[in-house]
Amino acid sequence: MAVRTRRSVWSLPSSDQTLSWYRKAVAELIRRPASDPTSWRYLAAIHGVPGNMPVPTAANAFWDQCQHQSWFFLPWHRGYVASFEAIIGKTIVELGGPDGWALPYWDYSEDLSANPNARIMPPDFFNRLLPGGGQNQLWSRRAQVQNGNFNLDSTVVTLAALQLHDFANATPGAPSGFGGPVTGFQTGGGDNGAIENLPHNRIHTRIGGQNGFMSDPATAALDPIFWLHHCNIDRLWEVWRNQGAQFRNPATAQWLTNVTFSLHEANGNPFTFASRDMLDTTTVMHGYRYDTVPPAQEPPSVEGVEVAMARDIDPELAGASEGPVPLERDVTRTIVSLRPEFTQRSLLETTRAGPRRVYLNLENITGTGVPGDYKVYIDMPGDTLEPALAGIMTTFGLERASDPNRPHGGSGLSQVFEITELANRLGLTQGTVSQLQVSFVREHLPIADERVPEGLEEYAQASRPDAAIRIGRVSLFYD
Amino acid sequence: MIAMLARVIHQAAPGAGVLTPQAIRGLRSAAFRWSVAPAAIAWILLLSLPRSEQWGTLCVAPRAGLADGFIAQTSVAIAAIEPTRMTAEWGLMIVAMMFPLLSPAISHISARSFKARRNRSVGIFIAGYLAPWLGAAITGSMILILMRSMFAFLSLESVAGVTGCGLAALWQLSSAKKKAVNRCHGTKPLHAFGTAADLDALSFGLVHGSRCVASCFPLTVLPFIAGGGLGMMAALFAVLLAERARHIPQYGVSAIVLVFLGLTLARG
Repeated sequence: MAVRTRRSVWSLPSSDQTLSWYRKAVAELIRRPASDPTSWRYLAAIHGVPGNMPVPTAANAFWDQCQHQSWFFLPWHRGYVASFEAIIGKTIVELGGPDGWALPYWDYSEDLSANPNARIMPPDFFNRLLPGGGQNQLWSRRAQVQNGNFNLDSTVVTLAALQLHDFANATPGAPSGFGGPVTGFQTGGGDNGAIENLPHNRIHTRIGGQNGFMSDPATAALDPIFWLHHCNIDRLWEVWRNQGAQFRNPATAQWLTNVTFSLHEANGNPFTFASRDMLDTTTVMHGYRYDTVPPAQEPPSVEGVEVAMARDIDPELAGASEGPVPLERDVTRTIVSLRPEFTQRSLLETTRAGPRRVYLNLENITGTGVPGDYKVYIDMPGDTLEPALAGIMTTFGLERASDPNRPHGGSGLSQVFEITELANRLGLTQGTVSQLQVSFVREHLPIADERVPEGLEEYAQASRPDAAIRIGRVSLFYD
Repeated sequence: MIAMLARVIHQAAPGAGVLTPQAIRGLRSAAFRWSVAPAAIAWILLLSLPRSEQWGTLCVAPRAGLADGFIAQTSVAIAAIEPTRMTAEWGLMIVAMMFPLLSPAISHISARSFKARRNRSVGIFIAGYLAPWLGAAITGSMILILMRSMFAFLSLESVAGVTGCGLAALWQLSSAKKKAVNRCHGTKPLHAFGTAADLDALSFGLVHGSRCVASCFPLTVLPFIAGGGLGMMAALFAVLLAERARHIPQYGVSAIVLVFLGLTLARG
């Protein structure tokens, strides 16, 4: 059978039946019991399990497996989405629909001149009732907004991650590359890869709002739009890789083969895969390709490729906040003091081959609830320059990462921004500055709809504690 | 075991292949210097001890006559303890078995400290880490003496080994063990400057040591009820390394290995 072609959801002609069959399949999967590996609840539980939901012994190796803050984020989700696509496709055939159904993707980052509606959620998803009055199974518990406008501005849909050459990083203090930090099997905690941070995390919380399904990894996959979102993230991995020879996946056994994952085929039988099985989309399960991914600049090859890791860098701590920074107000400021030796030498006077780099680290971010994202600004205390935006601190998965009983021991999330250019502009690198002011500006999330889709009433009881968040330490690292 | 140890060492420089710059940096890393190297030295010391000197207090239970009764046996056993020797034995055991598992925590505290004070912070962390373990050593010795006396008093010495290993196996299968291990993976934010940095390094060591005791104490004490010496210690070390090397620890496999060890002791 020919590989399936995943198309942009906004490019589907009005007569296209892709979404109507998707709706029918979702309704069928919701009717299946949670113990069935092809049911809606089971598929969602693979990504995460709400705290009040017991895990059957038979599902121990399959539920709560999502890889986050890890270089396995992309390959695991590729397998997960392909498994979902296979199950939905088979269900559609059983319902009398066409064979070879392919999951569409939502390209919210598309140029608005090409598609003015790109930032808007397709109408098939945001109306709770169908024109005839029946339940729309593509609707879900989401932030309460008008006409599918979740305020996906340029800070949400940015594709800056595509510019990074490094796929991964193993060095503390430095950014984690495009794909994520080097980890073992990891269901959350630590630093995000660039593509996971933006646009992935921010899309999750913007759509989910304060109490919607998408805001929490434990419920996110209950929302049908989740799959179109992750289909797009998967497509962006292909876009990144096809940009040129310097955009390479890791080639070590540690990433390719050492860690394996388990999911289910369309018939409910389990299968195991590793990252190596996820490199060529046309051989992932039934096989698929995207309609708008640019052709690769050179044939993809695993053999002989160097590890796509960050350069051999050794960043060192240069300064830190006096202690933890609780973010209790809409705007919170803290001072990062530099160790004297760093205030007395210019970063430009370096003995290394190139100029030193500067990284802002937000360490051990812990908390509860869904506090939303924060814009992070840096500034020199007392100067006349405007504070400069260092980056967006996303908090998707905060509560899981803060739970001491989960595998990461409650260490929380972390975030690293490279601020070399800003540091130069603000004079930090001239060796005359002893302090840096860091400001956190909270973005409030809209409240989510209290209603849940028919058949998923048990998830209405899932309540979250009030949002609270603190950063364990704000620090500066110089490479 | 070498492959498992290599994986644990690998955590000092994740992503490194053989003889890559990252691997060489790993050998120079704080994790290697402070965890793997001391453990290797401890193993060399243990293996180079004369056989008669190996494992006095811990592994060879001092025994009184059966007719003397439970209290008399226990009293004699306690009186036979040589505190210096016991501390040395436990110290070597902790360094040999537990330090290789400290690599991630040592990497964390080293990377998050100013370069000029990395060794100081790691040293303070290790001092904090050892404190709860030495407390556990005293408790562990008392537990071993009491249980050995009890088994001797009941004339059940032949099943002491399998009982101890069985209890340790049950602990491996418990949800409490899994939670304790998860907590072991936690890190904490550290002050960077001055006394506050020292106190944070110490408190992180104390907390990490306490969590480590909570997760590993039954495994490192109960199987020794019937003695076992270096062979038992090496087997338990392999169990710990295997759990750490797997991305999803196979506690069930550990439990089977422990039962097998217990049965071996019962037969021997």
